[in-house]
Amino acid sequence: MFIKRPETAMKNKICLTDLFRRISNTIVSISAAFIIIIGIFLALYYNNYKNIDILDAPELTALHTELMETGYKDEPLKTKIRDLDMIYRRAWFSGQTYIADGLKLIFFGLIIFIIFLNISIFTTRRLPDLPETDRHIFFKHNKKLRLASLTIGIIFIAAISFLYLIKPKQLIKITVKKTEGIQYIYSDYENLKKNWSNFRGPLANGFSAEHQLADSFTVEKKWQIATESTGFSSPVIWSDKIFITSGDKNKLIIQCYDTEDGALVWQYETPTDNLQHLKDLYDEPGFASPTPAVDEARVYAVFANGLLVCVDTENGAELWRKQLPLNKIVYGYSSSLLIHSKYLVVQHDMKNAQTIFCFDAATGNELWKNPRKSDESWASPALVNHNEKLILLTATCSSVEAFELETGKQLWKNDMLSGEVAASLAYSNGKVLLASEFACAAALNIETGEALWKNFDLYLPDVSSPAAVNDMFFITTTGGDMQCVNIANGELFWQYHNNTGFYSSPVIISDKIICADMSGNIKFINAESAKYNLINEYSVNERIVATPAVINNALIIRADKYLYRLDIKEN
Amino acid sequence: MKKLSRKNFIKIILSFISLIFLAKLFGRNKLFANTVWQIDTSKCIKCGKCAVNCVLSHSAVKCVHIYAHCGYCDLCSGYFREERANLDTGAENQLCPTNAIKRTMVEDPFFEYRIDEKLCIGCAKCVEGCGNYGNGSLVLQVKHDLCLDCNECAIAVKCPADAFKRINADKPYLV
Amino acid sequence: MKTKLLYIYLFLIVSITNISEAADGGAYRFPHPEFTSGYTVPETKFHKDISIFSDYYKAVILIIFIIAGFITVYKLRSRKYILMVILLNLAIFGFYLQGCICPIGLIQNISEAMFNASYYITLWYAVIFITPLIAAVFAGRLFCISGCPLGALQEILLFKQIKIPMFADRLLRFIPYFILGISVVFAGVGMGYIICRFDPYIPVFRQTTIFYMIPVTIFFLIAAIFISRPYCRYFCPYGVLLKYLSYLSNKKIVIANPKCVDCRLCENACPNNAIIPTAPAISNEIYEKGLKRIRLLIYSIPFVLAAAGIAGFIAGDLISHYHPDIQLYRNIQNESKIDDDTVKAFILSGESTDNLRDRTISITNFMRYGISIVFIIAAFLVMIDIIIYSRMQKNKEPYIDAGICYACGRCYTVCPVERKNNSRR
Repeated sequence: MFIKRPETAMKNKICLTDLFRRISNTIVSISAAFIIIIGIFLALYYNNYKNIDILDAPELTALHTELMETGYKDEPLKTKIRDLDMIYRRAWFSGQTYIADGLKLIFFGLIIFIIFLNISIFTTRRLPDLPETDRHIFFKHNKKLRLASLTIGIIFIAAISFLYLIKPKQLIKITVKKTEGIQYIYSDYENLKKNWSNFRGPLANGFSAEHQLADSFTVEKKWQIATESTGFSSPVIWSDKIFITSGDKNKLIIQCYDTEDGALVWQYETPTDNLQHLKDLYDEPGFASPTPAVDEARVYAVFANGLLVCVDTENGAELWRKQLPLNKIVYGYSSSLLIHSKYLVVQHDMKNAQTIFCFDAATGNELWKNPRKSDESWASPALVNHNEKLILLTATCSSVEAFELETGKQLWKNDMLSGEVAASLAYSNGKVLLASEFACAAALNIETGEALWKNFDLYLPDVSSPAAVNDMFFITTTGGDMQCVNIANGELFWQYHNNTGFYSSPVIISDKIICADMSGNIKFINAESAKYNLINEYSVNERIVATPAVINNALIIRADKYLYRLDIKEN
Repeated sequence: MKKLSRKNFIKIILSFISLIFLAKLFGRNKLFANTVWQIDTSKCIKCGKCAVNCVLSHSAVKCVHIYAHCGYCDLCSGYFREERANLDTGAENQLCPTNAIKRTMVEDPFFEYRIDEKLCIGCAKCVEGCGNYGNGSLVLQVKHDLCLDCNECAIAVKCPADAFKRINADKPYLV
Repeated sequence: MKTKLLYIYLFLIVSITNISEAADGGAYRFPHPEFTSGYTVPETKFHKDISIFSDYYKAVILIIFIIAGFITVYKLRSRKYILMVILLNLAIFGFYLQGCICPIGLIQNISEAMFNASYYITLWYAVIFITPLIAAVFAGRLFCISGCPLGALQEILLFKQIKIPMFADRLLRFIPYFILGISVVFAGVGMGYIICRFDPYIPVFRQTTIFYMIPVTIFFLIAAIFISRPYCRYFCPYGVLLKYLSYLSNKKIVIANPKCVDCRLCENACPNNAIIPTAPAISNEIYEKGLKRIRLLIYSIPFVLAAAGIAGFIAGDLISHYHPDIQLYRNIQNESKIDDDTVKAFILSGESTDNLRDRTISITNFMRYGISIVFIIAAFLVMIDIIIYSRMQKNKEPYIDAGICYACGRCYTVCPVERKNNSRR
């Protein structure tokens, strides 16, 4: 009725549609064969093409090194490189064109295939098949269904177990620290100022009013002990314990010595991890340039690989550790830590990211962080107690900044620095003082950060940090110049040229300046504006890079190989 | 009034839920613009993966020269290899593997560098050279006359620095 | 006068500072030279016109096509016109617009916008995503013929149909539930858009692809010649949404109106097994057996769901190890991988490893619970489907299952009642 049987149609006349069908069927088979052949060729060609490494062809690299070894004089080699380069380029670009063209050919083959396939479908007239007699969906296929479910289940279990077998071995362990309900010990300023808790004194600004030195005294060596470790960090002291850090490519060390006899109390070691970003690290500053910080219960140390670790002062047991962001800085990371009460401040100004972190001293939890757009820095943070408010001062290669210690809020910023800044800041009488090579010596207002004066005519330090007391600003330089500057106007009080230079920073104990030069002379100078007044001098005959630590009329000096205790006896 | 059938009730509930859902998604950031893929140049680490991972056989990522930032140096660290014989256009001195940078003299110490887009494959060798030792006037960008704007960019999948992001199509270049 | 000068001066200052800002602080290693030979610095040229078609127009075209689909399916009721729409759809959405952006892939964008606070979708994306769903609520799966180039390509490829048995067809149709769930979780956690990555027909529209896709494409092309819509039926995740919304639609394809002659031609003509035949007579014994089976199925639901949850938890845990962030974390800890590009990029980004570690933990948890929940939901849907399929049929006439009918119109051609109606018209 509606659908003609092909047989009857054939009998009656040669059907035009049938002719179409036959032609299109032939074209369909031809185009299918065409697609398959081109596909095979393309696959074979692709195998060839993907072996062309145009970005780093090993042959070319070898020729380039050969050319370099010959001192770029070998003309035939140059020609060879040019020819090979040309061959590679041709192969790459022609390969791309061939593959693109091949894909287009396949595509057109496919279009023809589809068109004639559809013509073929439309011109084929056949009776519709009658369906199977079964009208059930699932109801009757009970056995088949069971079999299918079983197969799916087995495949699923096999897949999961296969995944389990090929899974990577290192699983990430999820650990949750319980910190609630424990009372931690924090050391407030009253405790800190009796000790030498930070780099350059209790507030890390090079000045300590708590310790006293007599007007005339003799210096005696009480003990000297070989540390057998390398590190540029300075010692810190808490009551009867001295802490120093050191490190090399294999391990990082914190050592604790007794102040009385210099005996090693304990030693903490951890392997040096995450070295991949330390390619720029020079051997000289080493792995332990930042000075540790200490309070009543804990000692904190940071190393060049960004490992911040906190250990117990009693036994050297690790309490917590943090990995600071892995980042690059030339010469190596060297900003020292600063501890005050529960605030542990880390100035982490690297090449690409500059952040000041503040951690809870007891737990290592982050209290605040201030990621700011600044510049890299080797200087250490300093703390100032101004009008009963604690202000954190930092110097980067471009600016001097002040922060609130409790919150990390930036109070002010002054973009006045330049060059590579390693010298930290000093403070006296409401003025922030700075001196850095390729910049200037200057005084800034602690409240607003505006520059009160700038002096470009002084000899300026590139490693050693300056210190200040009353109206005197004291600068020691790598060239060996010692200068005393008036903090009111920046004019020079006096100047003295030492034969050897200073890496170690001067520290001011009440009214005495202590500084150690690179040949091992420790100078005690009276802080007075009139003249250079050397009170006493002591030599350890060994290079000193670290800044001296002072406690109870005793001086702890870290030299290259030995740790010294110098006692100060009043006459 | 017609009685509310169960089906219509479900429809109304569903449409309400989807409306609330969509409103929530838009409440965060009302965006009525088209978006396109682009490379965040500050994140790019010049690994060279753009050259080989694009769905196009000839990558849509190309090196772009910002002439205004160029120093027109004789010794262009984007053009010459670190170890080279002379400062000339010989293949043994060139950094570009496809000879896509054309160097012409402007006046005595200054040279102009032009990028032949037909040859550039976006391998970032010159970008790295210029960024390390020069002004950084060469950068990689997705060329939108070539890009097919896949929903998931095949290069973004392989990008180690997560530098590919969708940006507003009104300002399709990040230079 | 003075104020005017002041303004000019201020304007100059502002413009100068702007320029120096634009030039990255103005400080370059090598200063921009001042040419004496009259050379002008060329401007960096960009092709201002983007080759990419505006999403707004895409949305409009999609709506127009769906309306066209509606007219052909419900008003013209003819396979011929439907085929025209299909070809136009293939030409425009497939070869002219080259695939992206499509509602199938948008599942993942929406999911990422839900779980990732820094990602957002545009209005046109939402319109493109929601239009086919609204169409499905009102008139069934029109999108599959008039808006989806993948469906169109498969529709015209079908040549020698191998009919898949009903039970196998229904079992294979459970796969998209899992694909939908997994793709949502993957996009939410940042593991990439797996639907887009393994989209089998996109390479045909673009004639260019990553090479691993070519065997997949060839496989699906060949499959589509023998099996009707292999991707749509057994893999398409968007089909799951369309399926459930289509059940709500009032407008359904009804053939053999007013009276079916029960010739069963349509049942066989439908390549997608969407026509449910007239219910057979059932003996009491089989009925009792079936009742028992359904009871068993209902009782087994909690156990199946629990098993799916546990399997999902394990699978999520295992899959999470292939997340880029977790791989990065492992590479950072592994010294032999320090030259890896991802590690380099991480070091340069200045992010802390603690931060990354926390992220890996949250990713692992998200994957575990996400995949587990998704598996439970999928298993629940599967169980419901099995129960529905196992219950006794009561229909006196064959009917079309609206959820799985792609509106291809083949049944219009074979149904004798429909032909009679057509000729009368």
